[in-house]
Amino acid sequence: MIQFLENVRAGIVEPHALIRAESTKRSYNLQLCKHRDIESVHTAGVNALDVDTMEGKYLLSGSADGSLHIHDLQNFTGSPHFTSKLICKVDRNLRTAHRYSVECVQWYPFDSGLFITSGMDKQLKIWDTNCMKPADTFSFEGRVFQHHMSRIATRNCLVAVASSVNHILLVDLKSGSCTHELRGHSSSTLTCRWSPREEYLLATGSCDNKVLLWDVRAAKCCLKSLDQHNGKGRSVSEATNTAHDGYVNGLCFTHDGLFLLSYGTDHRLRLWSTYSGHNEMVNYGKIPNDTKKCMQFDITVSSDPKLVYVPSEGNIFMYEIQSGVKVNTLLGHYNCVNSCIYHPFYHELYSAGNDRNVLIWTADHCQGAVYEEHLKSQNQKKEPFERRTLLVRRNVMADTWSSDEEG
Amino acid sequence: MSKRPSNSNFYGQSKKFRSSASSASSVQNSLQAKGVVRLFKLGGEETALVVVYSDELVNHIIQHCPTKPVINRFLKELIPKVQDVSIDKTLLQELGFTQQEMSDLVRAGLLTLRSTASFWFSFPNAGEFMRTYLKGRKSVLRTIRKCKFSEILQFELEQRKLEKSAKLGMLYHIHDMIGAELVKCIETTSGTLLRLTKK
Repeated sequence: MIQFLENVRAGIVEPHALIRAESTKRSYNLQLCKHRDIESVHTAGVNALDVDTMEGKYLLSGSADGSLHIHDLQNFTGSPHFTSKLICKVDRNLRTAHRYSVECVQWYPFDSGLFITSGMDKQLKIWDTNCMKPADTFSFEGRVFQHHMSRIATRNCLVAVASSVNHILLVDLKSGSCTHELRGHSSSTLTCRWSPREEYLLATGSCDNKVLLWDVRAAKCCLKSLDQHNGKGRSVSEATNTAHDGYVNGLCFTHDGLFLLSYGTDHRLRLWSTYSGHNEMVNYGKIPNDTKKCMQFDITVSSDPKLVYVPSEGNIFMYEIQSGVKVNTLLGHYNCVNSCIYHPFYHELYSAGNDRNVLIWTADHCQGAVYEEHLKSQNQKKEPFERRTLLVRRNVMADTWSSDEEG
Repeated sequence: MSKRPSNSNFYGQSKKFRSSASSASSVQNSLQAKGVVRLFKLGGEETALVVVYSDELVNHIIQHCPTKPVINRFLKELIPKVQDVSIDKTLLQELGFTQQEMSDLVRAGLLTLRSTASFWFSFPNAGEFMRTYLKGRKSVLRTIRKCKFSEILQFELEQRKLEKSAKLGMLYHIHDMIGAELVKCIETTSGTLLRLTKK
């Protein structure tokens, strides 16, 4: 590492190589964090997580009973041992909270003054963080499984909503309307993601086993239906293309937007090239996946063989995206894991599950040794005080009941 | 009854690659592109693809289908041109197949209905192949499950006899199960151990 820094300073190596090397090393070495955790205040299984993109300071989590919690992730205490405290929460008994479970939460991509939540009560709520009250509520006909707002959109403020009706709804935050519908799926849509490269490209997955790519500007929006067999010799009849042999549970674009990963209930993860719609035919093996709702998974940022962290029942698997090699299994949850979020600045993974825990997986385990030394130094500071009291006690322990009068 | 020996020849030669379904590495892709190998999606297991050598496929079709001009046209035109797992009705019509010819092909077992306007490619007696294959796989899994701790050394498994109904052979099923991740391979000092994965 020191050698690397010297090379960067001398101009032999470009600075980006240092970022890439360090984040790759850290992404590979994830382990359950022993000295940091998140204050456990959840009253039901946690369904969704999000970290705000601007500062990476706040962790927003949504639970299965409709409550929302915000924790502060930054550590200013000076000690490596740290519990991320709860800053504010929305209790399930509030009149304005979601009535049933919260399925998806997302911070407003440009600052942390706003966040959007949606759930099984068929509603999408836009919350003002400072008052913790919903500024607006949209009601739909179907239960909402996932919503997503583009992180790079400058000309539009659209939130794509995937729900149990067959079409995707686009909610426009500027005008407050939700009239734009994208029709193309023949069954309920489970997941939707905007591309991080093009602000008008949307990918959606549904229970009819298809993944569709949309350009929301055009009238006939559906660009392509991804085909798992890469059919070449056929005329344009995309009605029977399927991306998976089961429901499409989760979608994630890589950070550069060039590849799309889709996760399905046929226990497979597939890698697609976004621009050609080609199945890259990478074999990740069988990843057990039996949940019928949306699973959130995440891909590392700025590491060289990019890794994907996929939740599967009680485990989290780490795979290299391009080769399909399984790097590691992260065991730590007692029940099903619902979502994994990768923190882009700290290179940590936060995972939430039905066991009401939000776990932190970090690469900083050498800090354990630092913590031990810290504890030892703290003990040494306490000892002189104790010696003084002992001396006092010795004086007090002098014999006061035997009398000197006995001959 | 006379079908059996020829079938078993065919079965012995249609191999599944060791990696699991849709795991076409670049090697397999180039084999498919050159036309050496052909993939089929058979309906039995969801993500299973069957890989067959093209020339053996042609022999098998000639052997088992009634000699009609449709079949010959199918063999000469369609198989080299279309390398996919399925085909659209419109594309078939473009290549000059009429409705009657399409139903002839379906009856001969070369096409299977996928939806109102498309077909899966198939080969004759595909159903029998799937039946033997599934039976064989179940019997090998049962053998392993009966062992203590549901694990067995690979060479010991190879020495055990399969039932008569499983005609594909023990080695075929072992490779297939490893690829489908039904058993985990663990290297031990006494050889490779095959352990059943849970569920």
